[in-house]
Amino acid sequence: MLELQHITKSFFGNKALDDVTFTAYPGEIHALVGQNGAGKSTLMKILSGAYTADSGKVFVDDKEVLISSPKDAEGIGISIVYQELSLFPHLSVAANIVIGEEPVLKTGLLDEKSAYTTAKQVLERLGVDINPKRRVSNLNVSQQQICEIAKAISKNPRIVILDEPTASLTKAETDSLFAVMRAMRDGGLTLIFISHHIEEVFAIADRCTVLRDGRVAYTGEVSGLDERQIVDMMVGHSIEEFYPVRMNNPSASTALEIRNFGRPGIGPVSLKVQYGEILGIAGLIGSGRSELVRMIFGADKYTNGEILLNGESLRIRNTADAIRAGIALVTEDRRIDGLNLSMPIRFNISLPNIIGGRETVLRHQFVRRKFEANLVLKIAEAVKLKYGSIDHRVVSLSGGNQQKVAIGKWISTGAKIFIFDEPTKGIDVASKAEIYRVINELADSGAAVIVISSYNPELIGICNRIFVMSRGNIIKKFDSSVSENDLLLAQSM
Amino acid sequence: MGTVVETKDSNVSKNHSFNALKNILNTSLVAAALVLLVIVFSVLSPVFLTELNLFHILQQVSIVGILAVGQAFVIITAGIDMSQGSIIGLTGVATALLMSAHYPTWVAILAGLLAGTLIGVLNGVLVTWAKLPPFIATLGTMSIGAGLALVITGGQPVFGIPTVLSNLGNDGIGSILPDIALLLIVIAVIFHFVLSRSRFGRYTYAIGSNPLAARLAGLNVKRQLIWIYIISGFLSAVGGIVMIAWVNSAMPSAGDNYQLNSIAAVVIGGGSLFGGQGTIWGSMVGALLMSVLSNGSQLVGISTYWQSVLLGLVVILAVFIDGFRQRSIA
Repeated sequence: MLELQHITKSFFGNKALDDVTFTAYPGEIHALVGQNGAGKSTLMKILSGAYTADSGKVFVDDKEVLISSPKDAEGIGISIVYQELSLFPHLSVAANIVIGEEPVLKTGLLDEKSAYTTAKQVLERLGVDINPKRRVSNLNVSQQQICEIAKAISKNPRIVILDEPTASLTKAETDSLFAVMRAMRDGGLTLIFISHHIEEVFAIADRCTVLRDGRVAYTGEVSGLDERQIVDMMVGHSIEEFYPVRMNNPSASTALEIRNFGRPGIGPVSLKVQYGEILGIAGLIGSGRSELVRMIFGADKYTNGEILLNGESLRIRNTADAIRAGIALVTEDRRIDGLNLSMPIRFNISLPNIIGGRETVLRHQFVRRKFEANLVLKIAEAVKLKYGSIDHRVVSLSGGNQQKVAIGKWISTGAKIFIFDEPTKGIDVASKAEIYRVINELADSGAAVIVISSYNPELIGICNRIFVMSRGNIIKKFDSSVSENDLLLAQSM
Repeated sequence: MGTVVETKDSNVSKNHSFNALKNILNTSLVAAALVLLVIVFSVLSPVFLTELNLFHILQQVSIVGILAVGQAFVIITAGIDMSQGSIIGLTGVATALLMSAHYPTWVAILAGLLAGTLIGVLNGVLVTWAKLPPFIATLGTMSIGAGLALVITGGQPVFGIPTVLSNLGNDGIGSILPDIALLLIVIAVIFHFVLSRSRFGRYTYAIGSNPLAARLAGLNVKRQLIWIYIISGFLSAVGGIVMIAWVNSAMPSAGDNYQLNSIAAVVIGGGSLFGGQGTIWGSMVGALLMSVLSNGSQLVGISTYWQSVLLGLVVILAVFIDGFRQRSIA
């Protein structure tokens, strides 16, 4: 039994968790739901020992426990299965399950036989038929997920926390995972199940706790609730008014259209974006949103369908084709593929312009330093960049300012179609407001904009239309008057 | 409105000069070490500061300097070119064999340059299309090049270098600037501008600092990398021609391990093997430092064995200090 009493945790004065109290009993699957930012991950980190609560108590089987490290959590009997797999793909299933506690022979060599038996027993307890000798890289994602669970179970925990285990699984794979979870529950374990799919809560959970803005909005039986009620409890608040006022007059002419577009697993998707319009794409992680826009931008190959620019068919084979066509993509993670962090601001902002080779920053293959500097200063002002000198490295800027550079570099190409993938992920509120303003100004100045976001209020706040993607397809289309609850409900299906 | 623009412009120029100053300061530790060495050796050896000896140092630095220009481009992309030394040998013997077979000098030189450049092409293809790690790819071609040079000569040195060429390799402008050092200066200045001011240079840094971002910004990363390995191969071939002109014969093993010195020069001059950092100017100071160190220590009577120990220490110290400084900046 896991019991949390009055857990509170603040970061810089903001309460991430506020007086959280709930109990999860043995032999039950307890769902933990809430929007992004509701406090689920903070709670997990407290239970895993990564954070310490400011106040409040945790009880396991009626005894108060202190968790100050992952090792403590393990000793107490709490095991966490994270969303990102932490398996070693080149090792066998058995080796992964016993990792860290490998049985050793007297000679000092590994006891492969005993590792195999242990792994086999654990997998049998879960009721699955996976050969422990197989390499993890040869398993499919749900089998890997089950291995991850087997690894957690092998330490004989009493409480197992599953963080969005179904995020990257197909329906059939989800069902087989659920069978495993039921077997665990019937074996008397306490399971805490985190999911964004509300229908899964009804499919598997006995009881649930709904978090909203760090507080418990509901804790109790699942039976008797319906999906609508859960969504209402998750949302609860009204949209804050820091979204910019828009001229909001999309032109009649279509900037970009895709028809039956996609590749195996994604699509076929058809959609149009007008000049002057902001189109939002909502959906859960893994719903194919980033994959779709990466194909439009030529970063990944598409296998079917066509792209039309201003009504004319266009072949995009690589990112250079897309950039020449006036398309820009601000990627999901600026540190991975958005910026050259160790290079100066100047370098980053003018790079796509230089590669585009329209002879603005360049003259006869050489950089016009003065022209470049003025262009960069102009863009820095347009995106309200806070910086010392344009020759300072981007890595020295704050996250929000880095994101402004990642956006500004595309303004330098004179693009007319902007795609933003999670434009405000991991940045502070003030910078967020400024980025909304920049996106808004782009649209008002006539650009066509597509915004992908996992944060529904911001989509409602800035978009003209919002499409919902799930499992590679657009499943629902809303206009900007959609309520947050309806939007959340649509993507939780 | 006008005033606003004016302030901006003065900001730009201020930033610009500030940046130039910072660039010089960044290599200043190495430059200061170089000056210090010159002073120490001048005091310890009466021969060191003579025209003849300076001429000799500049001759010595020429080949490593030319290689370091190519190596700098490769290292900035987070690569490494291990094949430079054997390209020197291969180019040298190929050119010399054609010359001793009485082909016109320019034909022989072109053929030699072509041979070296082809190894560069092969390096580029292996690194991009075959996706081999640069170290492994160029280690392979290093061995291939060295082997081919031995095969076509039977392991024997080749003589019969035309006097036109050997004169060029040993004469100079006045008694202070060797012709081959002048060639190095021309190459270094051209590639300095290519690296710091041109589109090609920007691409080079873009790949080294984040290849994924470079690709998403529209860059054809493979094509750029192939060109960079071609440049390194071509400049190594130029080094091979300079070598036979200078020593007046071609040895298949003449350039063995020269790439280690060019790598050291780039790294001493602020290049990072992780990519995204390095300059031609810094690499040249690095190359000069090593030449002065080996020449000077010879003059003051330090044995070649100890010279090697000394050089190793300098490389380690330079990179350590640089890493320390980088961390303190960040």
